[in-house]
Amino acid sequence: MSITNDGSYFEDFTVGDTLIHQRGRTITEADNHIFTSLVMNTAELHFNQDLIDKNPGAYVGGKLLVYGGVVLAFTVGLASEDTSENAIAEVEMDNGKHTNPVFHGDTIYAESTVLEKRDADRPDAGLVKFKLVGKKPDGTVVVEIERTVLVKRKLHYLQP
Amino acid sequence: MAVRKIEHGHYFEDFEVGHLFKHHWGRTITEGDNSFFSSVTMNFNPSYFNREYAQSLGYKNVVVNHMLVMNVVFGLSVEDLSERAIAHLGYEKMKWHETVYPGDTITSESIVLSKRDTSRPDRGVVKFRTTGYNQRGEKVLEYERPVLIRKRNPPA
Repeated sequence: MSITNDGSYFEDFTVGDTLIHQRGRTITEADNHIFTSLVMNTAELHFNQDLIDKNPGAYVGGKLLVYGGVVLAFTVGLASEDTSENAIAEVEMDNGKHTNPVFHGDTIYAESTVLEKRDADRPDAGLVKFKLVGKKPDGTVVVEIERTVLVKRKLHYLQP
Repeated sequence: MAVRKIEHGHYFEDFEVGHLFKHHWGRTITEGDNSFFSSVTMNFNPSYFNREYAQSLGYKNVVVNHMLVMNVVFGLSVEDLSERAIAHLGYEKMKWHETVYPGDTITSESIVLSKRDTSRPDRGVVKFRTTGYNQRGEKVLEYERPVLIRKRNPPA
């Protein structure tokens, strides 16, 4: 065993392939409350049930909403073993949308489509751009974003 | 003696295009924050939680999870930008710059880029550009985000 798997280096990604990541993650009330607070997010619609109960019509779904940054972080997490275990850094994200709300108890799955591969400004790694999608089990897309990651090259790191 | 309710957050009408918000608090990101965030979000890039591995890649310590950096820069901006939001809609042109290490202190600021009405009179979309810095004033992250925000006085 090595620290990272040898199937997710720069050379292993093929433009056009879609990787369906195996694991899902149920986002719990605890996840939403803890992460929203951990990062100093003060928007009450993520953590004040009384506020929602007093005027449910004013809030999406009439329920506490999971903070989008948590949804995105879990979606990246679900994709990470297959896309960025061998990454040196996350570089860019663009055209990201929260297309549907996520509520406590919803389960998220992730898929990554390889959009582009290109050289980086260092010889030991290359840039891979993925279209990352987070979905509920019924296929409802909750988040989509283009994600560019700097990934190690096998040629440099796995020399025999 | 007085009892006052103190309100936080801004409504759609409060935003002026071009205004720069320097957000409150700042946040030192600890090793605990980073290990906790990376483990619980199941982000299996070992440079976030294995110091020896991170150093083998040339880093001086474990690297703070890029999604945690993003969330802290974002979180610090919420009271000024989106505490009154109906929904945070997305992310554009997000780019990470300087590497963040445990012990670094992150601050955040945002400029109002644009405002527009929507088909519903009680809300509008405001777009911001937010930038995060470390304690040396080096840029660690920037991104733009459109937010759907309530109006204080919706037209009848």
